Amino acid sequence: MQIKVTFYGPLKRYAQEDGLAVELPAGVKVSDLLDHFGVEDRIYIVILVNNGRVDEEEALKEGDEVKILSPIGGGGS
Amino acid sequence: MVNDFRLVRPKTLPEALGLLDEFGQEIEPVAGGTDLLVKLEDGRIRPSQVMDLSALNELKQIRLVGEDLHLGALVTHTAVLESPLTRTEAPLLVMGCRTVGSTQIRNMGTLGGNLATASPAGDSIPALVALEAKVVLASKKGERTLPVEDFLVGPGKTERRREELIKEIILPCAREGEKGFYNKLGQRNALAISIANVAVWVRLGERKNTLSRVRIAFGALAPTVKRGRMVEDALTDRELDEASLKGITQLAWKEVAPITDIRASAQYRRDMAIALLYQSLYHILFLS
Amino acid sequence: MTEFKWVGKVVPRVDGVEKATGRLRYLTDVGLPGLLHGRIKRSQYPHALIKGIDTSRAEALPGVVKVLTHKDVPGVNGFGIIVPDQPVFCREKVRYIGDAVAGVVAEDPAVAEAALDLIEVEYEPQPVVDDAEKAMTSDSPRVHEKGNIHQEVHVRHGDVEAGFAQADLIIENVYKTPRQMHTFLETEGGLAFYDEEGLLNVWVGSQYPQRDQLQIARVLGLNPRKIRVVSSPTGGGFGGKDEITIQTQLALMAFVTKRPVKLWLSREESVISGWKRHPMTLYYRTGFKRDGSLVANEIKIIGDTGAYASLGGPVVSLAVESSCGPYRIPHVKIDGFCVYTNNGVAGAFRGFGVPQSTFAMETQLEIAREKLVLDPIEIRKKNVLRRGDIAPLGHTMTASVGILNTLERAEKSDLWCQREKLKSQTPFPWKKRGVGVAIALQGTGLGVGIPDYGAAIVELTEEGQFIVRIGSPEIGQGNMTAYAITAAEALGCDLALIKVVTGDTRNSPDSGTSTASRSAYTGGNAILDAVAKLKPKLLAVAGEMLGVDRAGLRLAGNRIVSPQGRGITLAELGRYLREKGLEAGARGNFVWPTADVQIPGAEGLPHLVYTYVTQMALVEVDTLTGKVELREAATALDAGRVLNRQGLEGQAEGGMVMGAGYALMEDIIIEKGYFKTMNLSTYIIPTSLDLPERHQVELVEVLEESGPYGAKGAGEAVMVPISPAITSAIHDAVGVRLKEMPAAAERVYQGLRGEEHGQ
Repeated sequence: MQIKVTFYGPLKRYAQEDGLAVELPAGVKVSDLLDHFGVEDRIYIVILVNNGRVDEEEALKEGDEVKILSPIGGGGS
Repeated sequence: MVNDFRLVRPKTLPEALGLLDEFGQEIEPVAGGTDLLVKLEDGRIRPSQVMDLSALNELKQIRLVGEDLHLGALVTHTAVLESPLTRTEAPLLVMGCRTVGSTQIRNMGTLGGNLATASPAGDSIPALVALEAKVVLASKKGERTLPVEDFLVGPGKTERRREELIKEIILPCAREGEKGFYNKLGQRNALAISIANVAVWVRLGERKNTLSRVRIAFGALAPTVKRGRMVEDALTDRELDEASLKGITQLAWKEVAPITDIRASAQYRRDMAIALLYQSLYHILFLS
Repeated sequence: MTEFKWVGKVVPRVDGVEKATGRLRYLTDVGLPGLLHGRIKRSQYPHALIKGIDTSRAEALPGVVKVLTHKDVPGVNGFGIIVPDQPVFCREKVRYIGDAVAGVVAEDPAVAEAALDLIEVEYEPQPVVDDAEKAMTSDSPRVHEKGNIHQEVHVRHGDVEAGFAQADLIIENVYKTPRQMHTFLETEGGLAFYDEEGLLNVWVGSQYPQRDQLQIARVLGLNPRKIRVVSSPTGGGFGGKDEITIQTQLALMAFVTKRPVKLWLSREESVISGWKRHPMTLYYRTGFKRDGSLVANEIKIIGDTGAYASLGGPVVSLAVESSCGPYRIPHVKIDGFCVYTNNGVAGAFRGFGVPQSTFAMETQLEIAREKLVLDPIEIRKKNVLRRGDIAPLGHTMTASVGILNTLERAEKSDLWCQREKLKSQTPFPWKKRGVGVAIALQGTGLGVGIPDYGAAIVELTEEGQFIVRIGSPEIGQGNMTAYAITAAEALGCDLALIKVVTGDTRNSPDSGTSTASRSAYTGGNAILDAVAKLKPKLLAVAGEMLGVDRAGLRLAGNRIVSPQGRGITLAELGRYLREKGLEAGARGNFVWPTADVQIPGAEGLPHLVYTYVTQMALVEVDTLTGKVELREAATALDAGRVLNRQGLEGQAEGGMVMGAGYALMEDIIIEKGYFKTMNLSTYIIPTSLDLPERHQVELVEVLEESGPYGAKGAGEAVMVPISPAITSAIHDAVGVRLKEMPAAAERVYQGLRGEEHGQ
């Protein structure tokens, strides 16, 4: 199945391209996708699937859009 | 952090004085506690005994005695503001007490405590000095009376001996033809420690725009609240207008010996002695 | 005009009664049986190498359960939103006087306190880096190995020299801004414990529980799912609880002892260890045409971020973004530097870099206006951005732009219309009055580069209530009420039926930070998405229950009714859903729109959606003492659609007060790395007696299509332009032009005497 992946901020080192199409076997989880890219820091990252936050155990399905970022945003109040 | 201590709570003045006589070196008297609690909290003092004076109702009275007003040491700043006696007989003291801390602090803090703490910036003290008030100190052996001005020795230092308590403060009642003004400059309008302040008491002269007696006390401008006798003399018995007032008040510069601290520089404080004095006299002469 | 039932109406705050009566329990109010007490041993020097730490005497003290140092940190010994450069417990070096060297956990707070004194740390003091500009030079001692410049931002747009060549007037000045403190009522603190499920619970006042969860997990080397963070309600944040405060140390204390632990900072400890607003030095060279139009701006901004990065980089970036104000300037060259020193730590603070550069830019404009003899409103109208304009950074202003509307509204305020009369009403000959106006824009949300996302879950209970779950915590800003209004409006039900849950990693979905003026906008959009999914489902089931077509059904009050007048209550529907095992809730997601250009090297720049504000001040200056009093203020705010009217007015009032404090008195003074202002007796904030009795607040609703019902953010912009409005008013009153804040009496007095500003 095909899913689209975008890395943001410092994590762009894993893939520069926005919306990179990746072929993965059916039934994989987010953790498999992270393995695929060799993502080292599995703690301080945020994963959005179709714009909703999920964790590593989330199962992926055909056509999912995955965004992987560090939670580095901030601001005043 | 506050240390453990023994708390004693005498019911009468003789009982309190007896305790002081016995334990004077290690006992810390507390009235409103507004200064003591801060010192306890940050560990600046670690007393073994604290004597709570709050049960000594005899020291909470405001009384007229002849031409004088007697204020017990435990009279709170709020009591000064609310008493009809002080309002008519000691309006200058009322003005000073109004600027002490916040409502909560005025409710707890006492005249005696403010004097005992002897902060150069204490807001009730300049009025007492300008009014030539006296302080009565009591010990088991008896009483003695000192002018408030002489009672104050330095920042946090007074003539009070360890075995003595401040019993009361005596000041002359206000009379016809007398006026006063208290002028405080702080970093804000409430809950502020004075950068500089001045209390002015005058007796108006018979001729317009003259003063037959002047007494000035500067606060936060020297190690203790300080009388400004040179400038008092220069203001006495001469016709004053805005220009001469401007000129004479410049003398205030020589009366004070301020320090630089977090709130202001010494130079600025010196200049404020002049500015605050000028404004006070302007209020007295031309605005009231 | 759409008719709203709840949006824009005056409704009671959903948490108002509990807060006003003092019944509400903050997380630092919570106790547990067997609670241990934590304390932190902080550095003795602003900059020193650690040669040894001996905890044996402290450990031997009866009642001490554990003494913790860097050796006890199982994961990464560091935290920091962007780079984890701040140690949980310092190992080889301390970089500011608030740095944590060790922690004590004891049965009793007094024992913990006493144990701190028994921890022996051997230091080798290093030269103190106390000036950000000097720190940038190559021969400065280094706070961090990599050098003292943490981050640089460089913006080039147009041709700045060509711009200056067209200018009739060039104004050049240097500005300095103070180190403001958030001064939240509830100091940093909370408790940590293991629950029955084995989760490590960390209940701490904070602005973003989900990110705290990840930072704690990184320190403990734990799966984040083993940690639950609760951070609502928080007793004030203002940006100061955006970064980790005590969470990692507290979590470690419970992790190691396996017992419940409380850690709560005293005010003094909060002052020295906590985040502050970046003091900045701002160099401005600004070119104007004779008619007042802006042609060029060359700017250098240096922000003192103190010992650790936190959000210092983005703060300086936002100062850069807003350095040209809400104006069209075709030619700009802007450089920003975020610099390490040993001066405490600086981080996020309401306004986030914008108050500093707005003070400088608005003062530049005022100086030019005076020289060109132009009206303060007219020169601004001539230059302000309009929708579709190219902003100074080069991006197109595609979202709503209401700055002109706020100027037009403010111009009609009583303060402005009556200004000559108000100025003439001075009580004493030595008092002079003046008025000032200033404007600002504040980006809302996190900008581009990183997706800014929100989520909400809305569900119907068996009691017929709707629960709205959103992670962004209630920190006093009133987002719970805004969420309740948004949900009630979208659902069409009574406001009283909405129950809002925020700030809990287990019970509310990650919806980002309660910062960046974003939580009502982001959370509101997520609610609308959730309701759009949930409501048709509910109506369909209700149709089944009633045996009617769902098309005519609607939600009204606490019922779902058909056009024929038949109906069921929401409680009946909720019970039915539960009995049938049907889903009674829906999750909504939202990701922010972003701008078309990204500024290289500046994460988060530029923003797309901005809030706009005009503020005015009437001040009274004592010409003999220099003392300034704010007599009257006016605010005209474009935050898009007003969701919660009282809440927005409250934000405008609170923001004005915070900006007035910044302008007039607030400054944490640090000398050679040591704090001179340690508590609230020396750090001066305004009291009610220092504030005007009248503050006219005008809400200008320029609708933002991307926002919930057209709303934008409001929390920050409202504190920004009041500061330069006040300093301009001082100039109007007495001719003293301040280029350094705060306008403390002594500084103004020196200006009156014609001396150099500052001490």
